Amino acid sequence: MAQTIIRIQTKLMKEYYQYFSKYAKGGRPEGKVAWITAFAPVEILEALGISCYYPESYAAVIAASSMEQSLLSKSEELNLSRDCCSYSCCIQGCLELEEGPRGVPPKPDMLIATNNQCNTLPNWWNILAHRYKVPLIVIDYPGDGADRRTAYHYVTAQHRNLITELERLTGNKLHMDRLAELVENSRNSVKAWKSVIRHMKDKEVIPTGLFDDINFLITARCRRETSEMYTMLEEELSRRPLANQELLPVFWLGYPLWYHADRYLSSILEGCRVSGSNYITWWNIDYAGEDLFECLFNAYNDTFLNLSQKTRNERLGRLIRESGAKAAVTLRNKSCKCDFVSARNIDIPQVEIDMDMIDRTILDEKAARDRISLVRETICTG
Amino acid sequence: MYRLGIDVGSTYTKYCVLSCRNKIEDCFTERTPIRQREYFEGKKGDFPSASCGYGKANVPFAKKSVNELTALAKGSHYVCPEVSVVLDIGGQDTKIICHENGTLKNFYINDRCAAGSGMFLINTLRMLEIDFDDMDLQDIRSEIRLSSACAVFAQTEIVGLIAANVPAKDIAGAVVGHILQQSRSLLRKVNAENGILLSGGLTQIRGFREMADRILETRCIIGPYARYMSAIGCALSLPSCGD
Amino acid sequence: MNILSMSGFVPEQICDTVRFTQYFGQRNIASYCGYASDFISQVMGDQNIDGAVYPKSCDSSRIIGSYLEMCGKFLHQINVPAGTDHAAVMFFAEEIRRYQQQIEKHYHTAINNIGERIALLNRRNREICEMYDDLDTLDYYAYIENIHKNLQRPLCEQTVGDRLRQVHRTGKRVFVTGSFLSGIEIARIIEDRGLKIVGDDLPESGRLCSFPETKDTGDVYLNISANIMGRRLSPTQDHFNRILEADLAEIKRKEAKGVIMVIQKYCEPYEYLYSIYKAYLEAQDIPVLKISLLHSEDTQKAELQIEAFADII
Repeated sequence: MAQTIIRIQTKLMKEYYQYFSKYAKGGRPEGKVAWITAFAPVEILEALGISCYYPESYAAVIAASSMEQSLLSKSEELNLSRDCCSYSCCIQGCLELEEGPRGVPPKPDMLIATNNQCNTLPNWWNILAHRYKVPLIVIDYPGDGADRRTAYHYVTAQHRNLITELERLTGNKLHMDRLAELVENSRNSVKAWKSVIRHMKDKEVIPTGLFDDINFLITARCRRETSEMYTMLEEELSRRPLANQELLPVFWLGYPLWYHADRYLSSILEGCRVSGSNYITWWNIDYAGEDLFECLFNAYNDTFLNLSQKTRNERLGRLIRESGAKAAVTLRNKSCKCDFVSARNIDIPQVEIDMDMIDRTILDEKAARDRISLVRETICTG
Repeated sequence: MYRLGIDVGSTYTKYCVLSCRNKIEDCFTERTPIRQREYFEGKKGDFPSASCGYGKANVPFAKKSVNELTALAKGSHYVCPEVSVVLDIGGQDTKIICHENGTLKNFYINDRCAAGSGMFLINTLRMLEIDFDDMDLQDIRSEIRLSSACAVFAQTEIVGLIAANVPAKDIAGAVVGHILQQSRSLLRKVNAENGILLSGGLTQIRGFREMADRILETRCIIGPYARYMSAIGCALSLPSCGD
Repeated sequence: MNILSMSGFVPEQICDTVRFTQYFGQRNIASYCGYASDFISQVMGDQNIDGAVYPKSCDSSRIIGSYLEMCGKFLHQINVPAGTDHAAVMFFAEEIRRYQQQIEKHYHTAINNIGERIALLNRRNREICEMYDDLDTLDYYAYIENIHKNLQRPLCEQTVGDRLRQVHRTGKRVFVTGSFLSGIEIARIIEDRGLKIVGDDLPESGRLCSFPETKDTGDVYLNISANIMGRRLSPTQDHFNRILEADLAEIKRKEAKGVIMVIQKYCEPYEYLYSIYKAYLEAQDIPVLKISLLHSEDTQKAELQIEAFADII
């Protein structure tokens, strides 16, 4: 079973990276290439035969390969402040130096950015558009603060315009049954992933694997193999022994540390186990609706970082309760202030740690260790 | 007729007396007084003077007020004409300038925390009870590195090192190293293939140039009158005999 | 009703607000845009303010509500479209209507003077534009101070057309760009150092003058939306190339010798814009100075840099 999971993952990764410069030998995908942000309506692009690449995801790979520092420095040399999102600084450095663990992605024919995660990503995509001189389409998702009906019409108009524009750029025609098939695949991938992550609470599941495995939900969501692979993974996790109840359950509130071998502070969470994480729920997007446009609206307008504080409080509160966590490790990510405010109203003791998901120099590990010890003592003696 | 250049810095005021023929007659330093205006009003200007630095407006007898970076460009070209990039680590901030034959062309200022400035070292030396003049970076053996960019957190780290009985001179060395590390981001913005001329009070520390070579990974030069270059530039900005 | 508003995206046509300019009190939020954090501090600390309206247009403004949720005052966030096409204008029109409805509901009032407000605003904006066209001869500090003071008054009390001091022109013409110039001292420093500001694309000045008038016939919300969306772009609206082209055209037309970009630290839209703006303009031999401020009061390093920049250009 484990072999089959690995075989599917290897196949998906091989297909994704085959046209990166390290492997491509000058070759390019057959159809058009788009660089897209992590919450773009990928189903529309895939339905039009467009190959999609995710620069944010590659930045995580770069950090995992310990190559980020020189790229961050190069980006700063080019006048992009290091205060900006490290995903962007890392990739800008990579593009300038043409260096990365797998080279650089194939040049884009178009760029698609959304603001349902943050407003920084469209800014970054603008400088990519300036670099590559290709069309940039920014899709605006108002979130749950706007009037629902107005927001639906606005987003749907943008989705329709996106289709029209992409048909023009590719010369292909969108077939709605193909789109429906891809949306169904995505729905199944999300459903399968939800089953996987529910084991985090009770079973001996370390977050490392989940932080890495969610990559397929991000970059291969509408592939049928993704839900198949997650279903197998769920079966495997269901056979794991129960988690050691002596360990203090903590909630990992924030991004993984992509540069860390374990993706989280494993060495300083002694006596603890991570029983929940909000990051691994972000792509549990809800494709509910009576027609495809409604499904896409609900999925992409209501992403977690696009929700009001009130809604986030409710969702996060529920996640934490379900995880059984007694404390939270809350990450003040230098690159993402939008996520940090999510933790403003949680009821359990928190350890706040300054870090960055890409730049390993931000974290003060000793200070983090001291704070975690303090909270652990407080809970255990309280 | 002599000319006087006065660089009123946050910690020290530097003076340069230049002769008619642009020869340096004298350079000297004194601590910048708290009541600057009162102090300078009590002085009489015997020669034409120009002032620069944060407190330049407090020198009433100065005929001319010069921008500190413009003065640094002039002065550094006078002192070391073959190098056109200058790194100045001052009390309040760190700056890098590029000039062409003494004319300022470009500059960058470190807008990060005070952990990148001379004041951080002064405060640390006070904590460690080390005299600035006794500092020697040449006999430091350990390779301690401070990890925080922020002065407040870096100070906490220092307290921890003291509690761990790390030798005071090693801690002081780590702070100097840290200040140099913070200036690396500025260096990336300029072309320093001909080397960097170092400026500011830290150039007086024994072993500073070698540490800078190592941390900045570039050829570093400390010229004569290293802490007086802005004052020299100020004096040069005044008309000379033939003018 | 004493609502503190942030940004030119908040429609003045609907009702009076107190435009946030500068804050002088205690600061409690770190690693966050100084302008937004000062806005939050003023809403929380100023007893005279009973409400806040802010855009959802950048990372800092998008999470303002998270910091203010417990303040007990009227809060409203306006979604600002990323694009400016017809769908975006229609959506923004609905957002403006929603803004009006929320105010009426919270303050138990009825807003029925939008037509009059449009007329007053059109006149005020024309007056600002006349002065903007005369920037060569105006003391820029006095000009921008005049605008800021008026923005804090009710619309019917705004008198922008006062005579301003004339100054002698110098050769060192500069263009100023950036977000709302909360620390107007910077303007005084610039012109005291022998530079002359001949144009800008600040939201309260150059951008406002690019599309000053609201149509007064037809659907009033669509007209207000078209007016705001029709102005020159902010980098929060995500078309950097159009910003570059428009700025360069004005810089060349006004023969500006350099550009000063005044931004807040941790302001991502302007940091990203700067990363291409500098190279784009310097390729045309136009030097760019970026001044990064910690908060709305900060001028600490500005003087040294502006003075040195004046020596360079």
